[in-house]
Amino acid sequence: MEVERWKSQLWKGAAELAILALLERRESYGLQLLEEVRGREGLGLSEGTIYPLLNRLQKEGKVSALWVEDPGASHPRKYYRLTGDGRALLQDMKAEWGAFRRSLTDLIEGDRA
Amino acid sequence: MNGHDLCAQLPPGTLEYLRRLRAGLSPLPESEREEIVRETAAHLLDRLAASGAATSPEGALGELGEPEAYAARFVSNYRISSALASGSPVALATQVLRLLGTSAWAFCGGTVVLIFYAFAFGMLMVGFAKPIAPSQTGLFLGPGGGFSLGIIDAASRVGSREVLGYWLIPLALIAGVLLLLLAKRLSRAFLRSIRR
Repeated sequence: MEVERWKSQLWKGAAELAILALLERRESYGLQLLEEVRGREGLGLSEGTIYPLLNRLQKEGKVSALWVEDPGASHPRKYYRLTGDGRALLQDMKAEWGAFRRSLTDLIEGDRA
Repeated sequence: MNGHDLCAQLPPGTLEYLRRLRAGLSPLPESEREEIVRETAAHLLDRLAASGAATSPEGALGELGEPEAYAARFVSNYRISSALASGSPVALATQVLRLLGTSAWAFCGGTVVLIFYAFAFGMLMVGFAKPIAPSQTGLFLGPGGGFSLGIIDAASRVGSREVLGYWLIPLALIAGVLLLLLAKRLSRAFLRSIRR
């Protein structure tokens, strides 16, 4: 139970980076993003959390959204894409993540190398 | 096409959910509320179409959580963003206060932030009180070497002397403003950390 709580805290911060990184590859709608993170071990974004997060990122100008009628779909979908601001934030977050990962890996593996 | 057109395609079991979601989103501006309802309707249509008969409307809704709790996430983010955008210390402190009960971290972090607000408010009050009640307000040094700052009643300041005089006014106001700026910075960092 304790590890579950820790995991959800860990994920809260990482979810934003995951979403921005997925949107860098291609424009997506919410369910599409969910399916992509679900295919990956441990990435616990849920349906109840992804839309509030996208909503906030849109309001902060990190992503923009457009309703698109996909051929074959019965209804329009809200597609998200990165803005210039979002792209800049993603680059900063990637650098921070790299540094964080290296430091923590060195620490928990006790500088074995 | 608007949210109502999308809703027309949804199974009846989901309409009550969307109605409760819309009600929960009532603090938001109309356009934003409809946008969220519409996106939720599109999500449910895709969820139900993708899984065919494997997912019931109840199953698809279950993943989103109770409509009131789901709506509350958007509303909470909206209130935090509005407070951050306004930059008003009252709006920021109100949001910190509102979030105190949401988690252990929110309680500890929020309490520290509110203590800074309280000190800032106290300093400003002392600065404003000096011209109104000059003899009671000040920095009092006690006979035993202790000191007290503020608006002190006569019985408590027996034997102590006031050392700052009217210098108290600018000093307390400057300290109050600096503390207020610090409290604002802290509350911004706190609110950003708690937003979802």
